[in-house]
Amino acid sequence: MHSNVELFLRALRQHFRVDQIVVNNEALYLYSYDSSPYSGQPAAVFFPESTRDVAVFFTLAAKFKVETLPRGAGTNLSGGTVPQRGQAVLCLTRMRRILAVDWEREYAVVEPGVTNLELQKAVEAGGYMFAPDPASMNVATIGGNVAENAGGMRCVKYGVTRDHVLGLELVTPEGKVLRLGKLAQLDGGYAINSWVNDANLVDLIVGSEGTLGVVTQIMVKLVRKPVACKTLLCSFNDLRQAGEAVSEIIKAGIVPTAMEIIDQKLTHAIDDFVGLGLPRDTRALLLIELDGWEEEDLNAQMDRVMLILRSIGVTRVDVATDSKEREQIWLARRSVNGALGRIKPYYVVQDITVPRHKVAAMIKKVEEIGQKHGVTIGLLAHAGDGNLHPHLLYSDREREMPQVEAAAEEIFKAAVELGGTLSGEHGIGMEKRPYLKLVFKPAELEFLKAIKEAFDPSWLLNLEKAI
Amino acid sequence: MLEKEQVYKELLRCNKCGGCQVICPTYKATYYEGNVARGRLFLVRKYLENGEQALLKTPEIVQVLEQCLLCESCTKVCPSGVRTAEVVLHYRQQLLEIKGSKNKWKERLYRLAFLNKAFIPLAAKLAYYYQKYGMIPDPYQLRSFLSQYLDGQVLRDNPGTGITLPATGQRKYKVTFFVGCASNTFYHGAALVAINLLRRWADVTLLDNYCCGAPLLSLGAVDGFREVANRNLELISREQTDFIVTDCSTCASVLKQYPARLGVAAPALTKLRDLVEILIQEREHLSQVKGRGRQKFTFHYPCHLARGQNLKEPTQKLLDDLFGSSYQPHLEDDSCCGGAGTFGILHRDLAQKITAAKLANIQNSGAAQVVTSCPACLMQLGAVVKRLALPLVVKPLAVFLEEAMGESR
Ligand SMILES: Cc1cc2nc3c(=O)[nH]c(=O)nc-3n(C[C@H](O)[C@H](O)[C@H](O)COP(=O)(O)OP(=O)(O)OC[C@H]3O[C@@H](n4cnc5c(N)ncnc54)[C@H](O)[C@@H]3O)c2cc1C
Ligand code: SF4
Ligand code: SF4
Repeated sequence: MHSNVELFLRALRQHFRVDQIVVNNEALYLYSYDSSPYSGQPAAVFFPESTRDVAVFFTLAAKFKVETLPRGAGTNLSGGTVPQRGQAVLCLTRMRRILAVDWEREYAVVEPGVTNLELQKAVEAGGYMFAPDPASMNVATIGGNVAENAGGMRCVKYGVTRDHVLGLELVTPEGKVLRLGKLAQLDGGYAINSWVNDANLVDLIVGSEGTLGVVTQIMVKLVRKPVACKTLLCSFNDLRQAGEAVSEIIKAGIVPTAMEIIDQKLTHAIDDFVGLGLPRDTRALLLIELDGWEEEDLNAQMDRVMLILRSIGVTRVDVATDSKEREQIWLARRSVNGALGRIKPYYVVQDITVPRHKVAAMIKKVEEIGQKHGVTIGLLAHAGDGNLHPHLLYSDREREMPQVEAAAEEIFKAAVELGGTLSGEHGIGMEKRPYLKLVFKPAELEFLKAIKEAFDPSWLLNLEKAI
Repeated sequence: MLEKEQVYKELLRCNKCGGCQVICPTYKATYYEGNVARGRLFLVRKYLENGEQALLKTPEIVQVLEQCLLCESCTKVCPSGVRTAEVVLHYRQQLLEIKGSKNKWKERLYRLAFLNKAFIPLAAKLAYYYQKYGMIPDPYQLRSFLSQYLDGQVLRDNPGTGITLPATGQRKYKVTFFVGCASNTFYHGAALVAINLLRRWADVTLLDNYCCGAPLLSLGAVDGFREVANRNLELISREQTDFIVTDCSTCASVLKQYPARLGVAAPALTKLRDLVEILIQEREHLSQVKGRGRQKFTFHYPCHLARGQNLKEPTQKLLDDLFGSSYQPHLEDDSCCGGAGTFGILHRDLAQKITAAKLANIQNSGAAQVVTSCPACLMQLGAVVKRLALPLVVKPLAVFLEEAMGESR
């Protein structure tokens, strides 16, 4: 494979400027990691600036049989962008144009390197939002959001990335450019709401973790931003009570924009960062965001939520309505992963998802497993959609890793037993691959492989990830 | 200056969340991982695992260390509060200590320049040249340039003479003016305006000070920095005065860091004020300012004002209060302008990209003037405005205020 890489790089240099290609060994360390604990050295890093660049890159890679791996901002938590097979990395951060915003038909078309925040800012002025808002939204790219089918706080109410992607442009590992979904309809001059009978390839690509091709354009749905919002900071004496409150609220047919549970350790860490004066003595914090089109509607929701909270034994509720205060609270919430460095230097974060009414039961399990293995676990949950993020914290890689891994495996199993799954939004990547057997039958895995082969017959793109 | 153990702690706190990408100006100019706090910290950490010496000689590591602006923006957004700039400073120091470091000549030049008052203008000359021609002079040009140099005499002749310029209005107290190198030689006109502004209510004497040490510090020349800092501290401690004021936010910020960096108590420094601070304090003396209904202007908050001294909000309040809607904030108005001391000269292309992005934000605010409180920023913004031929005026704060008071000098 090595000499192939040399030939491949030589060919690349004939097509592209030197500043688009990184080959120096030390500089390559910079692309050996992402936000997960894994690492692996790439053979080269290439910065495309257009769809054509990507297609040329893939055509050459296919010709020289060189393995490749796409990368956005490198913030995924599952090792998705770690080139553990020494692949050539295709880094999309310099493809960051917003190509179109259509207010009337409520869509935008962007390049994959545009960050979630940049898209939000571009549409905010018109009173719109791109609904998925992962905690990493300030820097994560739309390409990365699509590949991981990212979720966020608002997803309880608005759905995940898949629900907001209308069309895609995909370059396959053989260098073919496909226009999918509504983007193709747009090209053909059809009305984008017309019904065209084609296979829904867009949904297949969203969440495929960069194993089927590289997304070079994304057509996203724009959603009107609600006008009235309230954020409730609810304190409980017990994490499980917070979990119950979530189940009860949903059972009552109320759909908050967000419901997030944060445990005491994490509350302290983020309050050290934002200095909001969050209630530090509380064992469990439940953040609820309600939105609506009018004040009355909002107040009615609020009254019903308060009734439920009281019946469960909430110890304190702080309500934030002014937008600056709310922003600070959500900033605090989004900072959890980053602020963990304040507790211990390393962590593994899990992404298990269980049926919503099982959240309280799952929390109990996680606590027990942590105690059993002597592992410090910080718990954060997008409780509204049953998605839990236990953060397994450690300081000494060699000494503590066995316990951490044992606890992690047990948590995976417990989630599956409760009728849940391994990943809600962070992806399978390298991290969860060994556990795929827990959720897929052999026949299903074979089928996934067949799909992969249809897109990537030579098996060159992003191997040993996700499937 | 952080000790080795503290540096390790900083490094360990970074858990690679990538959040710093949103703000790091060098990243936003290149979208390259080597130009963001996460990448800088990772490479350093990696090199610690492999042993220090080898990697400090690696050009890529040297580059990531040298291309940091030390603007501290990353620390502000970092949920773990990692002080990347301090880590970078620590390793710049190590770099200098390596035998045969190519930074050695810079250290010698800087020591010569900043430890010796007579040579202070040299640095300013470099800057002057940069602004005028947008490039670094080669050594031969510099020689003739030196002999031509005549500017900046006014302030430079005054310091240390013990002469007090009396208050023009009712005297409230005495101010000692700390004369920054760049203010002294390049923006001496603006410094004089600042002094005359202060004289509306105070007697002003000029301090015969040394460079504040910022250039030495950012080079990692810690010994040289300590030397100037100690000399300045001694001078300041001897002053019989009520306030020590400087019109350079970088000087003010660096002076305020002396106690922490030297590990000494320096009660005299409690009298130190950034010009901005004393103006806020003496708000009543600005009542003549005809602020409203003026042409729109914006303010660039220098790193050393916003993060170095935590003065963004009070300054913003003052401007809002004085100028109402004539004052237009611009997007990311506290992001580094790319000047960062000598950065603008040493990493010219990268710096100019950063400045151009800043200027685009400034223009989008609809302002016709941009005002700021640090000569290095004035220089950098001015140079790029000129190169791009933008219809923008870059102004020192004191000059801007004086004009607003309806007086022409
Ligand atoms: C602090 C923090 C908080 C987070 N919070 C959330 C959260 O709330 N919700 C959530 O869902 N995730 C969260 N994440 C995980 C991560 O940020 C998301 O998965 C994000 O979508 C990744 O985007 P990225 O640009 O960093 O992609 P990368 O990490 O660079 O890549 C992720 C995957 O996508 C592939 N890929 C990237 N670009 C393309 C492309 N253009 N075409 C094809 N494949 C591509 C890569 O190969 C890789 O497999 C968080 C991460 C951090 C560090
Ligand atoms: S924001 Fe802080 S913790 Fe996150 S990558 Fe940057 S320096 Fe590291
Ligand atoms: S100090 Fe400034 S330039 Fe350096 S890493 Fe931080 S944000 Fe980037």
